[in-house]
Amino acid sequence: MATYVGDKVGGIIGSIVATISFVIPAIVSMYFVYKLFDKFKDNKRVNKALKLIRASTFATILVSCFTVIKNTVLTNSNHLNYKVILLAIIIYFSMKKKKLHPLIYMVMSGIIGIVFSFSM
Amino acid sequence: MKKIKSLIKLFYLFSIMGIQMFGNLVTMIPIFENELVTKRKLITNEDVLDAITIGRCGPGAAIVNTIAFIGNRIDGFLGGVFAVLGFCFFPFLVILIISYSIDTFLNDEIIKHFLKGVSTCISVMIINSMIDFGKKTLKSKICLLVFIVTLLLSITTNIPIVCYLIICVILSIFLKIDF
Repeated sequence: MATYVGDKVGGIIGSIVATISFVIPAIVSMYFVYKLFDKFKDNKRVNKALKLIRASTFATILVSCFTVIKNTVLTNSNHLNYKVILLAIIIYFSMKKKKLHPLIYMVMSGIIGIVFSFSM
Repeated sequence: MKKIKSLIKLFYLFSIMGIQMFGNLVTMIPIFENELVTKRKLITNEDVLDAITIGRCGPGAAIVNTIAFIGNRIDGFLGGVFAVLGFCFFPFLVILIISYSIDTFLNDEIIKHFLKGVSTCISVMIINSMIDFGKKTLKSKICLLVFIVTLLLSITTNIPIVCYLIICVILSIFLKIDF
């Protein structure tokens, strides 16, 4: 998004500037947060709290995951998209059998999506 | 010299991950797990979870924060810088190229089919990652309880994420049991 806006405003240089300014606060703030985090890494109480926090974050992430999966599996008219489910089953078992690079699976799924008109 | 080499390697690693980004922070989780934890053993699953927690709370975009945190974890401040720049590299180029016709690009039927197919693949990968995370995090009864309560609360209410963290911290102070 930062890239797009930057490009509209000032061409390629604009998009570079916008993107970099977008990431600078993240880099800087995370550096300080990480230092703080690292200091307390071996603290027993902090580790106790962290175990609970991880469980809690796992729950919130799981909710977001369900939203993503729900949007994938449903069609535009809120019915089940059987092509998606079929492909998902196929991918699941082939991933278990053969460990290819995920990008290969993703591109192939995309191509299958085009061939079989997945977006309904 | 060695430091520069490792930083460039980090840049390259995160640029590969940047290609696989398809939107959500959640969709990045299986990619983090695959590249960083399973393949190269740079960080652990718990680290990824911690990075996501802190990334979501921090200022700005959650994905960029998470990447910055993980980069810091791997290689210090410059690690964070190179990780973020690497991650943004290919998406940057792609956006630059398609920004000239982004409306038609997004509404294109073929692109929609393609993205739906990719979403399917990512959904399967997410399920696998969630199972792995579940095994790692839900190791005691209290963690399981916290998990279930957070799950129910986040589905039904709109409580901000920070509140769950605060409750967890308070709980951990008052629980004398070792877990």
